[in-house]
Amino acid sequence: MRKFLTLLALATLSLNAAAHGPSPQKVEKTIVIKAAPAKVWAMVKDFGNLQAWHPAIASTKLEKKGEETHRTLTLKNNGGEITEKLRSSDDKEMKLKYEITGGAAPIADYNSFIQVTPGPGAGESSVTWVGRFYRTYKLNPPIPAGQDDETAVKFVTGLYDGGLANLKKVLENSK
Amino acid sequence: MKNLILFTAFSMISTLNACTSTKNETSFAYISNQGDHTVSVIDNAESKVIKTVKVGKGPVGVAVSRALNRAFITNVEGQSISVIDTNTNTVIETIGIKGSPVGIAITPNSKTLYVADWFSDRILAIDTNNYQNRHEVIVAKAPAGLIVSSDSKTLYVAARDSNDIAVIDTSTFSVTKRIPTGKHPFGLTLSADDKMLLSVNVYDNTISITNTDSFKLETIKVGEHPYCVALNANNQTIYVTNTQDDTVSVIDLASKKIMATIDVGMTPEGVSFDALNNQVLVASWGQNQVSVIDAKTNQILSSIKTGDKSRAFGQFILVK
Repeated sequence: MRKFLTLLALATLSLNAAAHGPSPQKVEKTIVIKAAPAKVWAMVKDFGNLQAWHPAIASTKLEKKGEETHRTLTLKNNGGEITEKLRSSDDKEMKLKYEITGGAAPIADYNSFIQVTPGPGAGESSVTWVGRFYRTYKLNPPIPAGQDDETAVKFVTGLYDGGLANLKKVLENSK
Repeated sequence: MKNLILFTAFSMISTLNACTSTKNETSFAYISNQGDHTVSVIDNAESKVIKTVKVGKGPVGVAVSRALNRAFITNVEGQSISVIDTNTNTVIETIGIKGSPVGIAITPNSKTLYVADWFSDRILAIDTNNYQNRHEVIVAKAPAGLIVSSDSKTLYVAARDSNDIAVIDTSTFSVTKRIPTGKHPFGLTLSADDKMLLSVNVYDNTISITNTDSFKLETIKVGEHPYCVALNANNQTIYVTNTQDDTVSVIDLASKKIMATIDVGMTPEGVSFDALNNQVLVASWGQNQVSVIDAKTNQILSSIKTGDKSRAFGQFILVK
């Protein structure tokens, strides 16, 4: 977790509108939680309350922009802000899709989904979080340290590992 | 009556034979796997990977030539092109490219290889007889998908960040026209008669159909973040990969209607029509597989496990 916050502190702004990198990156993480799928989904789908389960988030501000739902995440330890847009929230599939629209993350063109599925055991849920994104460096090699694929993948891995572990903790301790 | 039935039976058998064995051709797919720096070679009739070939770092684009017995793979992170001998399925040469090669196409006469250099806004023309004999032209921002007309005279370049398609006269290697499209054109293809140019608009969730004589353009709505497009052999059906819906849109060209939306593996990218087996092959970046769609029923026939992060950007099916 401390590693993750350090990464956030080092993060650079990635709001460049020009061509993203040529090779998209992926992080996919799954955790099993001893709680009913409906209960897990209720927490995951609450787009305006990420701080309720993600340990890196201090607060979430939800905003409606016409038809669209956006949120601004304030990170702990003066880590800055990340803005995100909700793409869809499907109660039947228990799947939430969103994208990052700006802010302090060493990644570009990030889009993601979190999905809750029943099982493997009775009364258990599996939560899968998948992200697709690019490094921030948008020119030919050599690629500077901190703007490369490795940095981007490490950031998202920290985000998912820390988030899912705490989601499990929060849900399993709230019986 | 008995004669008629016999006759019908015979003609059915001979028709079947005509479909399966007269030409003795086989088709193969060359699937680039970005994450493990390999190419999976698939025997399409068997739906089986017959060889995994190690290439350069971050392979994306694929072009194949039956006449040369070659597959050319762009390695964007490795800044090179791997040349695969398709008889032995081994890399016989690696061509260095100072830039970020993504899209690749070969002229139907197999004389010239075109390579799109993503960050340098240029197209390289490489002589297939002498890889050091090269020309280049600056086209537009972030050139991506490439396709060459069947007479090898015209090259079309999807310019992602210019929101248009550059038309290049291959004899002078200069841009003769720019066709405005939707937002962020990426993959493209041509009909067999060269009359229709199909391209996706990633940010608009549409495809553009351009008449290559009048340059008149029609737009059809597809799924979220389309990447690539393919056309079936008789120019009737369009297949589009929707990367962020994990689906393939099947469109009837005459009515411009969506006939089916097929769930495939996560983040589908490259798509090609396998005419020999009447099926559609879809590379799934998020699922590390190729989904095979029956072109007759629009059902998934099989999912073939490939390498990590399959892309197969370009015309990746080779008929031998």
